[in-house]
Amino acid sequence: MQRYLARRLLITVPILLGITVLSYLILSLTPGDPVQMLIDPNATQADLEIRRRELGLNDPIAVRYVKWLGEVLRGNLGYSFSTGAPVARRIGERVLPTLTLTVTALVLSYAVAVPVGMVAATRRYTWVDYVATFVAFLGISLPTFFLGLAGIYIFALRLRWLPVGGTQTLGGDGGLLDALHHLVLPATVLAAAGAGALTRYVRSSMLEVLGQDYVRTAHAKGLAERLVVRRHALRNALIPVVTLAGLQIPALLAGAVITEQVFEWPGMGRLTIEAINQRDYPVLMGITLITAVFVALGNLLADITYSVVDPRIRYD
Amino acid sequence: MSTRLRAVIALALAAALLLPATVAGQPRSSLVAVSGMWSPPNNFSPINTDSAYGYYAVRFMFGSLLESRLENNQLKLYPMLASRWSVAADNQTYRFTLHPRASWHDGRPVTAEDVEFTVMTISDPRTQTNRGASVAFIAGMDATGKRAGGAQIGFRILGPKEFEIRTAKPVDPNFVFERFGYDMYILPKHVLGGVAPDQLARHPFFQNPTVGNGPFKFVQYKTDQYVEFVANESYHLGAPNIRRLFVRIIPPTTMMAQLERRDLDVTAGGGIGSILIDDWDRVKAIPHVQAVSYSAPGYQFMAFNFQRAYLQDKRVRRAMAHAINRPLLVSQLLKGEGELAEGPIPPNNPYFNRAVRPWAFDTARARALLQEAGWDFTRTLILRVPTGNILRERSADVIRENLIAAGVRVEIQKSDFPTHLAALYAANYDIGLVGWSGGVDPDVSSQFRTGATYTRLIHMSNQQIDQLLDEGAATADQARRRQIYNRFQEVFADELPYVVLYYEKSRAAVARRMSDVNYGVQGFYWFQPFAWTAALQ
Repeated sequence: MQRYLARRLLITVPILLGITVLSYLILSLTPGDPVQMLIDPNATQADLEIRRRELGLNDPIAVRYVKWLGEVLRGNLGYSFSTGAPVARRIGERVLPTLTLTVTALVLSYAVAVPVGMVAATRRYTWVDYVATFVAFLGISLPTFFLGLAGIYIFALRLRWLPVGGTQTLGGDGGLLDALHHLVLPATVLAAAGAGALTRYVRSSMLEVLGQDYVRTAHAKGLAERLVVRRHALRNALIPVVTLAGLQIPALLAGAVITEQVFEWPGMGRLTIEAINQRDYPVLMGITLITAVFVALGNLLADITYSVVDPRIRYD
Repeated sequence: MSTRLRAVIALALAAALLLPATVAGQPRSSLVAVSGMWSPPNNFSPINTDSAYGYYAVRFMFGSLLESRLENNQLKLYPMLASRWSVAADNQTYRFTLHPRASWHDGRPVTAEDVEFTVMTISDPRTQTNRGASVAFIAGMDATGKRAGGAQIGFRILGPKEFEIRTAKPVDPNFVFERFGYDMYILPKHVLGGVAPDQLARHPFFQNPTVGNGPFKFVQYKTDQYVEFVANESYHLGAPNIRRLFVRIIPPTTMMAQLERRDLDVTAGGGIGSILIDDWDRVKAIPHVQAVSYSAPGYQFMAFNFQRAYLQDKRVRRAMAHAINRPLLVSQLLKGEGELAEGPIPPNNPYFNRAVRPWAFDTARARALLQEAGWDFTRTLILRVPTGNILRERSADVIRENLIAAGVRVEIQKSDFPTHLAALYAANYDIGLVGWSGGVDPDVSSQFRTGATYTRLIHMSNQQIDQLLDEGAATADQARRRQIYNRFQEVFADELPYVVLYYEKSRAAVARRMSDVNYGVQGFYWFQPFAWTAALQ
């Protein structure tokens, strides 16, 4: 296991390097000039030239990449083109809001999907199953922005229970209650889509397990239905579902672009879109690099989880 | 098990939903007001923030020398940091006296040295700034506002609060007042004086500008959420009535909801915080909100690529102006909240030439002109459209239908804005949609003078236009200037470097509890947020 881990971690280094080379190349080849996007249209040609030189955009791509990599190896992700702030800070200040939102949504979607999927599977083709399926597909197929706006309309505008957006009351010191109050709507909306797909996943995984011999054996032993389902079937049915969680880690960090837009949530998704629209290369590279690291770690974690929950899998 | 779990989940959800229902909808004090704009500011540099969002926030904290507004079609100047100013008879020497009590938020007085520092910083070739145009006419500067080596700079300190600038040539005083007087915000020398010019852009001060000279002081910026200000009690023009002010980042889609909930008092208006056209009727119907539409200098236009031989005949361009149903764009797409004009000088500008009428919508005339110009009716033009501005995207479909009706085949190509702009600069298009917002002064050299922004987009060079623009910029006499720009507008309508599609009125909203919020003809130069007053609601 340790050798396997060491090998996996070593392989990660050239992979990350490859990712940065490719994304740097693709970014640089994308049409659109960062300086044109940055500058006030009234700025003169000379202002533009200074800006271009200042940002080092006159160098060839290879030179720029090597310079960038050198800085990164020294722990400096560079400075944002558009704000002049260090990239690490721009990303850093968005990590917490994004994780708060995405992790809450993930937990919420599992909390709903696991029991619902389980019940839908055990009572297959009953009205319970049909309702669960219907709602699950609703969650999958309704676009997030629609759900978000509908949620705002109902809960913020008509019922006035919840705020329209943001992470805290204006100028507030951000008490826990206030933060929760702001989190409910975006987290629920974000969870809805995930929960829909997950419910279907749990249901089919559960059905597969329920048809297996050991479940029949358990029944034959005269165990109560509840015990059979909960202790024997569910645990095995959850193996692939738990793995799924590991694979979702990078997505958690990447943020939820649309939900963040609709709810004024200051997260990574919004930063990414903003950086793309302004062709803010250093910020985009920073995001790519960090996301890549998390993808690699997430995959590793998923593989390890496999071996923990399923004794049939071993790494040597 | 399953029923118990379900019950627990339902309970948890309900509890979470109802948690602090008290937080929402509490009455807002008369001392607090909230303004809203669509996107976050990228920094708070008074000389280098790259967007109107940044400047909206900057204007609460930093003052310019003057402000102005149109009164009876005449520019009237109002004191801000400067309390007095005068123009010498030669129209070249401008003397300013700073308000005796104008001071920085740390208590130090605003001095002539601060103004000198600002001018010298902007004109330093190593400084990242977009304010070059604010100083370019001062003696000793080159055309881009950078100090030409060794030349004597036309700036002189006369006293702690007094200075004068000297222009290289006689200039229309209003031009100087606009560029130098209200387009330039003064920097604190005692804070930034020791910073190397090439390090200025990354200086932490521009993320956290605690020392300003405006009516409000910076408190904090909650990333992507809001900027918080507190009143500057010792503001020299009077302490603001509002004690705490927030500029909140609100996406266009939820601006209406925020207004309806009384969470938002003043939209930023302009191109940075307007009401979506689809929400306009609903906002007008909210009882506690006043919907205000006002003429704005921003317009949308259809650019021609002059590198294409088949677009060089001005009859072809005029045919397209005839072909596009611009009155329909205004009445349907903009719900009437727009204006038409055949050129880059807005209808509400004192220099607007009323005698120049937009070419009428006339498909038959368009077809005839095309035939006359020998147009190839089998040719398909690429119409490039940037995504993001929904109205502009919708207008593209109307334009396409209109042009097809006149016999011009059109294929729409959409892309995100950076790609769009790159394609235009690379001349990789036939016709394309772009927007622009100008200033008060009619000098549009920065767009249409050969080599300037828009001539590089449309790849055009027109001697007659260059000559008129040079003459206009170099003329100090206002009556003579008016003649020149009247002529410029005639030539523009005849040559049609591009077709102006519409001037979009700004659709703003103000809570009725607010008073003295000025949405002016040129709101940008008439801001005065220290006068805003709010009633308890």
